[in-house]
Order: sequence, then C-alpha cells, then structure tokens
Amino acid sequence: VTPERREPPVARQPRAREGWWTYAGQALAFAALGGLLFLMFHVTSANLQSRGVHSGFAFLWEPAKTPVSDAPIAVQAGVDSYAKAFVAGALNSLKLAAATLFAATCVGLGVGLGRLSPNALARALCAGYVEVMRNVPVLLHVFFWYGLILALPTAAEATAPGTLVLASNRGIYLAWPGLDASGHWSLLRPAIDGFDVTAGLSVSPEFAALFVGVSLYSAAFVAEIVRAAIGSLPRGQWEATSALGLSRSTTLWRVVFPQALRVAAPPLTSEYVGIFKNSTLAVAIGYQDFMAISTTMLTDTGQAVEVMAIVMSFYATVSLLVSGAMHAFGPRQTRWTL
Amino acid sequence: MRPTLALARLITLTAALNALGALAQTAAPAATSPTLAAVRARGALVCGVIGSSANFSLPDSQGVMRGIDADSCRAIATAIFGDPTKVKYVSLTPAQRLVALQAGEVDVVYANLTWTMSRETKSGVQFAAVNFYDAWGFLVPKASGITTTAKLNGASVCMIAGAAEANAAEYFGKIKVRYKAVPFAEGEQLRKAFLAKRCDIMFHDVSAIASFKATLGAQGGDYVLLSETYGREPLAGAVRKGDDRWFDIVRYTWNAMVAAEELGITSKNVKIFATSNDPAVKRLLGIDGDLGPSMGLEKDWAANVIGQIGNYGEMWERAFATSGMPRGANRLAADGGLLYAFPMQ
Repeated sequence: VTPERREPPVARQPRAREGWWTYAGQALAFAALGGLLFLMFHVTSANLQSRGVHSGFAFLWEPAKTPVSDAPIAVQAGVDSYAKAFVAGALNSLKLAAATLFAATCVGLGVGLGRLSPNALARALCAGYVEVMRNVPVLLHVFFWYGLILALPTAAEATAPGTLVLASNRGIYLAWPGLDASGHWSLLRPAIDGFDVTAGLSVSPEFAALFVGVSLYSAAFVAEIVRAAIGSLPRGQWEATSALGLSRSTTLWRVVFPQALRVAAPPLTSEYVGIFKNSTLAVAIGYQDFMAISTTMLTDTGQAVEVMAIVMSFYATVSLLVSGAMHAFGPRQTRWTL
Repeated sequence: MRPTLALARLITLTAALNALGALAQTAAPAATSPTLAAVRARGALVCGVIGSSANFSLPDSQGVMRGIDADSCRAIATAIFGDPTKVKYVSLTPAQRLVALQAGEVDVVYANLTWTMSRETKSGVQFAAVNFYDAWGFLVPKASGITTTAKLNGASVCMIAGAAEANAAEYFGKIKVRYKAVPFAEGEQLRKAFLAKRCDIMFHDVSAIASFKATLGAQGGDYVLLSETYGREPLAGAVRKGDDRWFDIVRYTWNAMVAAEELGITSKNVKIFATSNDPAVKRLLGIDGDLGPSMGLEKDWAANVIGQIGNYGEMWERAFATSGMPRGANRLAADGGLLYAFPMQ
C-alpha cells in the first residue's frame, strides 16, 4: 500500500519567528498565575487563622481515627497516619479506574467493530447497546448493578462443598492458587468461616457494581469513538486492501487500526479521563475510593480547605498523567503506519 | 502636593478610627452581637440542619422541617422575634456542617453534631447546648441469633462513613473482634444494604436505629437492638467563636426550655403561670428581672419560647413519641437523666 502523501502535522510546522517578547510574555503570565495562587493561599490561611481554625498539613502525619479495611494496604485506626489513609484511597481509586478502563476499551472495541459488521443482526444489536447504555445516567447503572448484587443469596445459601465460584451478596469469591494455612501451595476454594468467607480471590459487591456499571456505560462511548475513527478513513484504503487480496483481519490490524488510532486518540483521552473521574461515584455505594476516604478524613479533622486541596490535586494529577500518557502514545503511533 | 494629600488622608483615617473607637465604647454596654444584628436585619434566623435525619430534621408532607433540631432552631427564632416561623433552614451534609458555620453561611448549627474537644479547639466553633444525648448501638436481624457483639469475628458491619467508622474501630478494637466495615455516604443506601443482608450488623446512633425500626412498621419486629451501647454522642448546637453574646442567646434559649420543664411550665399552662408568685418562674417569664434584655432580647423572650415551642419535654415528645425511642439519658436529672438547667438568675 502506498500511503498518501501527508502534510506534516500542524504542530510540526516551523513556527513563525518567535521574538524574546513571546517568552517574556509567557514568563509574565506564569508569574501572574503563581502570584494569584499564592495570594489566594495567603488570604485563605489568614482568614482561617482569624476565625480560630487550625490550618496546615501537619495533620497528615497524625494517626487516623478511621481504619480502611478494603484496600491494597490496610490502614489501622490510631496507628497509621492520615497520609497512609489517603494513599490507600488513591490505590483503591486507581485499581477501580484501571480495571474499568481496560474493560470499557475491550467491550467498546467489540461493539464499535460490531456496528461496522457486514452482519445486520450484529449491527442492530450493537447500535441498540450504544443507545441503551449511553442514554441512562451512569449513577443509575451503578445503582442497578449494586441492587442486583445485593439480591444475590447470602453466602451460606450460595455455597456448595468444593465450589470454585461463590457469588453472594457479600461479594464474589473465586478459587485461586495460594498458600494455605499449613504453608503449602494449593487451590484456595471459597469456604465459609463463621461470619466471613475465605477464598483465593474476592471482589466486594461495591467494587463489582462500580466496575460493571461504569465499564458498560463507558464502553458505549468508546464504541462510538472506534466507529467514528474507522469511518474517517478513505474508502480507498479498504478497496486497495481487498484488491491486494488481504484478509479482513490483516486489513483491520495492519491497515485500518494504525490509521484510525491516530484519529481516535484525542476523544479516547477525554473518555479515559472521564472514566477516572466517574470512579468518584464510589461514594454513593460505599466503596472506599479516594473521594470517600477524603470525605471521612474531612469529617474527622474538620480541615476542609486542606483536604479539598489534596483531593483536587490528586484528581488533577492523575487526569493530567492519563492525558500525558495518551499524548505520548499518539505521535509514536504515526511510525506504525506503512 | 503629595505629602499634603497623604497628611489629609492620615487625618481622615485617624478621625474615622476615633469615631469607631467611640462607637465601640458606647456599644459595649448595650450588649449587641454582630450575629444578632445580622439576624434582625435579615428578618430570619439561618439555621444549619441535616434535613434528612428522621426525628432531628426532616420535612413533613407539607414541607415543614420537623424534629428536635428543627425545633431547637425555631426556639431561637422565637426568643429573638417572638415568631417561630422566622427560620430559614439550610440542609448540610456531615462534611459541610463546620465549614458552613465557619464561613458565616449559617448563624447556628443543630445538625446531629457531636460535641468534641478538637472541634472546639481546632475548628473555630463553640458548642452552646446539648439538645440530645445519643450513643452508638447495634442492630441485628432476629433470625441471626446474635445476642452479643463479643462473638462477631469476621462479621460485616454496615455504617455511615465518618464518625461511625472511627467509633466502630475503637469499640471492636477494645473487645478484640475482627470485623469488616462497609461504610455508606448516606442513610438510604445504608438501610437498603442492611435490609438486603449485605451486613450482619448495623452500627449506628441509637436514635437513628430507633427511627429506622419505626419506619419498618410490622417488619421492625424482625430486628433487635442489642443491649450493648458504646460511646458518648452529645449532639449539640454550635456557633462561631468570637460572638459571645450570640453564644449566650443559643445556650440560654435551650436552658429556658429545660428550666420550664423542671418548673412544670408547658405551652398550655404558661399563661396561668404568668400570675405565679414563685420568684424563679417570674424571672424566667420576664415578669421580674432583666434576663432577656441582658442578652439584647425582649423581657418575654422565654415566655414566647415556652408558649410557642414548649418546654424541652414537649419538644422531645413531638420529635420522638412515634419512634419508640426511650427518653433515657434525655430525661431531667431529677428523673435519672442528664438534663439540668443552669440557674436563671
């Protein structure tokens, strides 16, 4: 395939002459912004001081009053610091966002391709999926799945000896290889232990509801991005590959995707940032994400300005990292084109 | 030219400062409070409540805020204006309560807010009066056969995020029971999840558990409140620090209602008491003395509160009678409770 001759991307075109004033202007704008932020910080802390409100970030190193149990790192009340509790919340948010992002991309890709399928039934089903999913508020998706999981039987009713999967309203438990009580490797099957259930792998109802709800909702948007990106390619690309006798999968993977990805990257970036921010819906059903833990810390410490500043910088930083990663990925993509 | 101008400015400024100083000096004995002045100018008290907490602050079918917190605010408005309708309620989430008060968005907060030391020493607020003594309780399904918290190892515990999480950690840490916390942001999700058996136990305020059981109707009998309780939750009205006179008004409005119950004065018989010869009654109702004017209020401030809102007991009954909640610690000290009016002298 001979690629069409392309103009260099706009950003790569040599700029018009840049004088020193361009840089001076930018430096000045940057300084003004910094000054404004400093002034806001200064006025706020002075006002808080005058109202007898404690301010500052020293509380971060004090022991937290509230434990965090459902997190990759456990936070003990009265032992671990507030800072560690924030880290636990951040890890929970990132875990949820990463799983959701991956699932939404896979489902979205499938549905998007389905809408371009030569099969009329597949096209109709995928179009129906997109319309149903994206026209219902995401919070309702989450509540729907949470209600469904809570309607599952209790662990005692759901279990059977030697089961590999235990789906109960306490969570979904899977058998998984691990070290058992005697220190030997074995398949850890779900088993009831008093009020608790032990298993190799477990997913809490809250995590499951958020994961499924947000993934299926976001997949509809990803599907539309995929469809639009593939649709943006000139027809000639398809005709040329079929003239050369390339198979459909070769056409997709070697010709269509590399070009479509360049179109899809910017809207996909927005969608990924949106998925990450939608993880804050966790508050509604009690999953211990960063937002939920921050709200608890705010109630515990009463330091609203500091906690909200931490929350804002966390979400801004991760969102910027997501867009940065997508941006870095974009240009490299051009090298894959033939 | 310039120095002259600066000098002129300085003179004006000094004059202004002198005038201000003189004003402050004459104002001090008149017992004014900036918050009271603002409330009067606005024509209404702005009161922060939860707004979705049954028995404390929840709108009825007519949209009128009902409950002990709502009535505590109404009492302050009555003390100031003689009119219980001059209150504007602002619904606040637990995380917003202190912030709204610090920022001056509300004049007083009665929002299921627990009186703790660090809230007073670190958050710039001050607690004026405890309008409800609460504690933490444990609700379990009767079918579970649980009778004590001691044998709950591994149990899932549903609760509201925030203070409940910290108290559950303290309690279960003390009795060395391993548990799984399932915290929710608000009550509706908590109740739904508990009814769906997401948890073995609900850890919540005893008052909230009582009203939850009441809302279940006949089904309420399927759940048992364990006899164990934990912690101290004195729910109190809070004001901003720095306006002592306003603090007085909030504190003594509550005090007057408790004093009225101790003296047997109710909204129904307050008119009869107007002819009483008891000096304590005469001072409270403003027939003798200057208790009202000493705070910048009318002489009959307390008589208005008792006549229109009632005494503390009437307020309590109105809020909790239907919930099946025993009055417990919220009885008068004479009856074995914790309520005790400071001398109104």
